[in-house]
Amino acid sequence: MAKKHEIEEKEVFPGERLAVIEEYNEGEGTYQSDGEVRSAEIGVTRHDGATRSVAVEKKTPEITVPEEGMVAVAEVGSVARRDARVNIFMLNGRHIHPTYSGVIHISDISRDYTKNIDMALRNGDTVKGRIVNVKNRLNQMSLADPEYGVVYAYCSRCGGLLELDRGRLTCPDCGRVERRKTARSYGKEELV
Amino acid sequence: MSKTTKKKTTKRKTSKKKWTRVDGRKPDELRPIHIESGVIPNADGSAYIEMGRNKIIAGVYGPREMHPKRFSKPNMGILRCRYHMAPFSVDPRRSPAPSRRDKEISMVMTDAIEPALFLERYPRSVIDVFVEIIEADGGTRCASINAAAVALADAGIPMKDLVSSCASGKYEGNLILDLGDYEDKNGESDVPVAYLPKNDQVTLLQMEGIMTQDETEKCIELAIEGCKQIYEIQKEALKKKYGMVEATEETEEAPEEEEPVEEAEEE
Repeated sequence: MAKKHEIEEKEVFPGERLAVIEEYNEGEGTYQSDGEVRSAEIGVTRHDGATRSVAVEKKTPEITVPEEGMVAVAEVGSVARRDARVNIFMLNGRHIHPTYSGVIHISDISRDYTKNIDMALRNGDTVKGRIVNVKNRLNQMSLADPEYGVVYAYCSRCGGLLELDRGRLTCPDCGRVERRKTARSYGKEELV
Repeated sequence: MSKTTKKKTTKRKTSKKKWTRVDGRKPDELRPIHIESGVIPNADGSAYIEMGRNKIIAGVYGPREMHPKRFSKPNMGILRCRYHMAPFSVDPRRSPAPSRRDKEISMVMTDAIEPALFLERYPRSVIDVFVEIIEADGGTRCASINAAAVALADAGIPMKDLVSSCASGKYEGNLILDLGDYEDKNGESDVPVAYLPKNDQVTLLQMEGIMTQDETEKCIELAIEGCKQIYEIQKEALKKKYGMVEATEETEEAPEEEEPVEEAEEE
């Protein structure tokens, strides 16, 4: 018990020994080497009694790399017959710079059958989706959920920002009506 | 052993009893070191080091997507270090193009720092470390590693340990720590060492010149002692930035989070 008090709330640096593995498991921000749990971050130790683990809450900036299950916001680049290439600039609500490249396959656009990818995405659109696979050559995204899809789109005739008007994407400048696979949050997604 | 060498040198050096280094330091004394972290607002992490008359700035970017993509690895990230000397860092002026020496030191730095990182967490990504020598005074590779390690920690990249680095060598028959430019060029031998202080592991060991096995071993030990001293200075620099106080004292925490943002907005 005395040990527990000692291990809590301590400012640590990378490599600092926190416990032996028999005492505590390794939590977030720690690593194990030679049967010892050590800190991997600059931060403060946090002790979890339930899992008997020790974690380090980092004081330095968070690092974001694409991982399976993350919500990503991306700009659509080139749209081909079977897939669209995208540049991911936001992961789990955090901006990343420079962008990571990703791909959206036609089968991942909606739960239904998509015959033509141009009916769902266009170059320049901003899409929100979930990362489903990072083990292939590119980060694969899926839009197959009402939450996901295009959040901002531009008119392909005049370039105006399309507005959702009674279920139809209409250009306020030229009146053109377009089709996209829109997300529930179309036009309201906060990107700042 | 050391006694006999000392006697020899006293004979050589006319009448003076005690041998002194060119800059008046003790044999096991480091040059004055000053480290600052977070000096480049647009970098993810950065550090500035003054080690004697060395002046070095290091910036860390990433992990980010690697370009060209064919050099990235699908199962792990890549650490890319760039060591570069400014044309005005030495006298006479030097060409700004990366030389053979620059490329080698870049590689040596990468190899020295890589064991401290968890690169397997960043597949297909790269961590870029740019090191610029503003003023050189011997032992720049060690000082660069020190600055790069602080910059990496400042970027929030998880590390197994900070990397500390220091050289030792032989000058006029004496084993000395942290060679300056003159001692480096005119001495008998030079041993740069990079060290993970908390894991007690050596990640860089080079040697130039001639020494006996016994002397080499002593030199390595000397350099490791120097690395341990530098480690404390590196920690101080990071503590200062992240508002940390010594564990034993009362805590009055004022962590300045993402403070470079303000500076960036002013421009």
